[in-house]
Amino acid sequence: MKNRAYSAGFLALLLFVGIAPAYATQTPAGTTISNTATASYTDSNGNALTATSNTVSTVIQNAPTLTDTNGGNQTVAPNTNATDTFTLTNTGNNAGDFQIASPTLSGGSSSLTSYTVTLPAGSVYNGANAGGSYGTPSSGTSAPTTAQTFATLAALNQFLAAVNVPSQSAATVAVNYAVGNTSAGTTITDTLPATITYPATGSAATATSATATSTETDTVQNDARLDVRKTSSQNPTTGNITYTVAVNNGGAFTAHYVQALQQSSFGFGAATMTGTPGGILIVDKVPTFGSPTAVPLALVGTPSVSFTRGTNGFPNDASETAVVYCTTAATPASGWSMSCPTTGTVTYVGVLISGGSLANSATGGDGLQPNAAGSAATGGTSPTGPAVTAAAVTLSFTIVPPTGTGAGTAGSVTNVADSIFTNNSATPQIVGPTGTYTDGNTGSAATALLPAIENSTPDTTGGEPGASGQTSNQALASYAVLVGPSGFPAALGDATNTGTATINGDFTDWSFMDPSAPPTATSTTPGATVTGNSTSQTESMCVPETLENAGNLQDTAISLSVTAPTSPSGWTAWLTSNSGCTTALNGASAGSTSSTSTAITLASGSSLTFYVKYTAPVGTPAFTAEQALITATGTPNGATANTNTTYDELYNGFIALVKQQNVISSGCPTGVTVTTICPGGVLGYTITVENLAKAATGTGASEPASALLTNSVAGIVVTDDGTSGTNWFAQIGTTGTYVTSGVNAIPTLTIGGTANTASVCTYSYGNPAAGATTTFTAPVYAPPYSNGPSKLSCVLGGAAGSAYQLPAGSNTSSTWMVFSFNVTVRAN
Amino acid sequence: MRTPRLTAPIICSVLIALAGGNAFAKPTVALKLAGVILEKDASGKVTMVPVDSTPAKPGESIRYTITASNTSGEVAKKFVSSGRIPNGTQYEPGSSAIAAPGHIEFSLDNGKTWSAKPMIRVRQPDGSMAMKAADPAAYTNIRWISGKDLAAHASTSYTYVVLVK
Repeated sequence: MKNRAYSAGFLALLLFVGIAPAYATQTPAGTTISNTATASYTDSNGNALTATSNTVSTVIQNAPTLTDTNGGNQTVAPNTNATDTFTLTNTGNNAGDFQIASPTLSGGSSSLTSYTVTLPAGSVYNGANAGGSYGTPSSGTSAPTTAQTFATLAALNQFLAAVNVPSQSAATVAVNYAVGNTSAGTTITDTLPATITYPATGSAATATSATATSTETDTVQNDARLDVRKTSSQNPTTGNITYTVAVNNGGAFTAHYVQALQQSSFGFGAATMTGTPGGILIVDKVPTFGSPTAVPLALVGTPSVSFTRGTNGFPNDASETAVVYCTTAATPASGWSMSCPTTGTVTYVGVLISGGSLANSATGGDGLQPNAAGSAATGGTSPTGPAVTAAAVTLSFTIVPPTGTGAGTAGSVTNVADSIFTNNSATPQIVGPTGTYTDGNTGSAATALLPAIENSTPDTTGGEPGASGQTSNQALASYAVLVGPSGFPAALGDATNTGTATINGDFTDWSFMDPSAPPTATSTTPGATVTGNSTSQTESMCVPETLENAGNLQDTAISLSVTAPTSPSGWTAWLTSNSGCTTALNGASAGSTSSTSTAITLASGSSLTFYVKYTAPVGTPAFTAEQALITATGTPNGATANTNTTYDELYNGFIALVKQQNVISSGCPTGVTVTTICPGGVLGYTITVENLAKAATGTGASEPASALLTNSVAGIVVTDDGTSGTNWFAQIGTTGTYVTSGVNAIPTLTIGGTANTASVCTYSYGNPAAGATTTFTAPVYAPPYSNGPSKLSCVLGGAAGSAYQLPAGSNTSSTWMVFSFNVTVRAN
Repeated sequence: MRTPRLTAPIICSVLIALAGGNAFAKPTVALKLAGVILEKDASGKVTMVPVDSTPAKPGESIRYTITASNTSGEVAKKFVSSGRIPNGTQYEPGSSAIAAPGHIEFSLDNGKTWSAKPMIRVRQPDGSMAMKAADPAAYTNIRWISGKDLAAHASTSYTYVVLVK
């Protein structure tokens, strides 16, 4: 044979990619490695010669090896089922059966539930008993490549021992366990040691590998947690309150949809029933205010929600969305729709997160994905509660401010927003501020979750998961003080006679008298200004008034002042706090023409009865209104003053009797003047009864009756004694010549010109009239009386206890009472 | 050759015997192949075990030694010795040597073609073809071209190592 030299280039032309053998494959066990050498040479004549060596052989033995790897450390949620998947790869030179040796699972409350093994293609039974329903398949029969689950390690190993896994192929062993109620931060260590055994093959003896071990460490992290932060702002001009509710999943796992929201009772309709069912609901009760029944404050405009897909945990899924819903129902159990009227009927505003097409998983899918860095369960301020720095969803709505009593009081309206979602527990739980509830598309689940979305307890320390802190707002401050007649600080009156009653013109009539100089009219002309006597000594009185804080918040700086009447000089006034007028009100001084109290504190809507002690000087005329002014001043509303006034109309007597004598018939010949009445003539006496107290005049007046003066139901009693002095029974006035035969008929009474026969009179007879006294309804003339009554005493307009009450201001013929009686003249 | 079924040494012997003298003598070379497994323990100590007395395991090396002995009185000219890289093994680069002026060649195709540095064509990422040195693991044969004669009654040997895959 001639040696031939080949160039590298020539060789290269003959060789192509793919000739090289595979490197990964080991030489199978049982393979015989044989080798023989050769040689070539020539003799001296150039003849080619060769030589061949002996053959050297060796057999490849079993070299079982395996690798054991895990799927990587993972995070798991409390109360979930977790799986650690280990991959066992037969890296040796034969097919063999795996065995799991003493695996361990530890940490928290974790507990093993099962093993799941998945064999690679090419795995075959080796003739051993695989256990359970597998039995003992014939050797060489293909083993299943689908997942096989075993409750115990023994069952798993029996199955594995019956299956040979091809060289360079991998099986997976999933360790399924329950995380249990393990707190966040706990680590769960899962160790899976494994070996592989090769059967005897040819002259290669059976062999078992060294143990390969893999350990996966799972860390327990918080399950999904919705952090809800609610803040508010107020328009400084309108007082409208705008709420902003920011929501983020601050946990480590996805917050899922609440299936119970599919229930038609809620009203969410197709949003929760098609595609991915259920939803996450954020609920905010519209604040209520008012008394005795608080009502929702009306929305201003339409609530809005904002979110950006793919941002802060809102899935990047075009079919998942967040929509504003409202209900006008009393509870959030029903009535939800996308209509949010501004008529003050909306009771709850909500955001429903629903839809989506992503497959659910612990850390992904529909719902709100974790954004642990976007919020914290606590740490928020103003209000205290969850802090949300990167909201997945933000709800915003505006309401009108509260009005009325207490509306301006700090915190007059408070509110808390709630949320519900379903967690990742093995048995999915609805998580809300009031606890957890088993989820499901059932009526009972829908009912059970209601407390969570009706919750009003704020989450101040992380104790009410899913609730916000509490916002606190109030109406813009509106101070208002009122002072007026006792019990009626808002009365309208016209004390200054402008023709229109106002809140500043209300008044209180009050009367007094000097017992030593009772008010006595000297007037003889009804309707004219009544004149009379005056007081002969100082007289004091104690007039009740009421002060009210009609503003919407407490006022601590109310002042009261009173100015006494100015005529006649010498009046004094003193603000007191008690009905006896003996204790100064908030430091008011006494003895002066005016008195002032300061720093009076009144809560919104509350009132204070105080008393003004007036002292009338000597010489105060009867039947004359003496006017005092009381002024209340509260904290101003910015540049606008806050005052109110009331008046006291003080009377030294207010019922005036104006008596007139008339000659009804003289009994005299023609031409004789009436002053010279003759026997047989008739004299008439007319007593006009006027109530001079100020009435509730002026358009719109609302003075209470208690502030106006009138006589009591005991009645006005008119007594006329004809035997007194030169009166009409024993001696007729100016003549001194004749006497009368007394009252000759039943007296008459008109009220406002209308006859009234309800008066009750007591008559006396004789002279002096203190003699026999008999009460009759009408005078009598029969024996033993030779004359008619010499004295009468009549309760006007009714019996005592039900007598006519003459209204204040009855000083005209259309209102006053006129009492009349006649006597007949006779010769003495 | 007249007796194509006979091996070369036998033919040579027959011819020598028929000739009855040196004028017809042919050189005769005897080849001996020996193999040892290089077992390395945990400390790195290597123990050599004859291949015939123990099985090999993947990852172990086998060192082969070819000993050529010229048992005749004639010179064996242009002496070339060859060895195989058995299936299930691969050549360990640098495990063999030869003194100048000799050189070693390798084959990728079971001895059909030889080269001191076999090349292969590979397709570049841009689609073009380029030449590249073949992986020694792809070698199928090795031969030592001595570049000189094997003298009468002289002997020589060559070694190389393969790795059990």
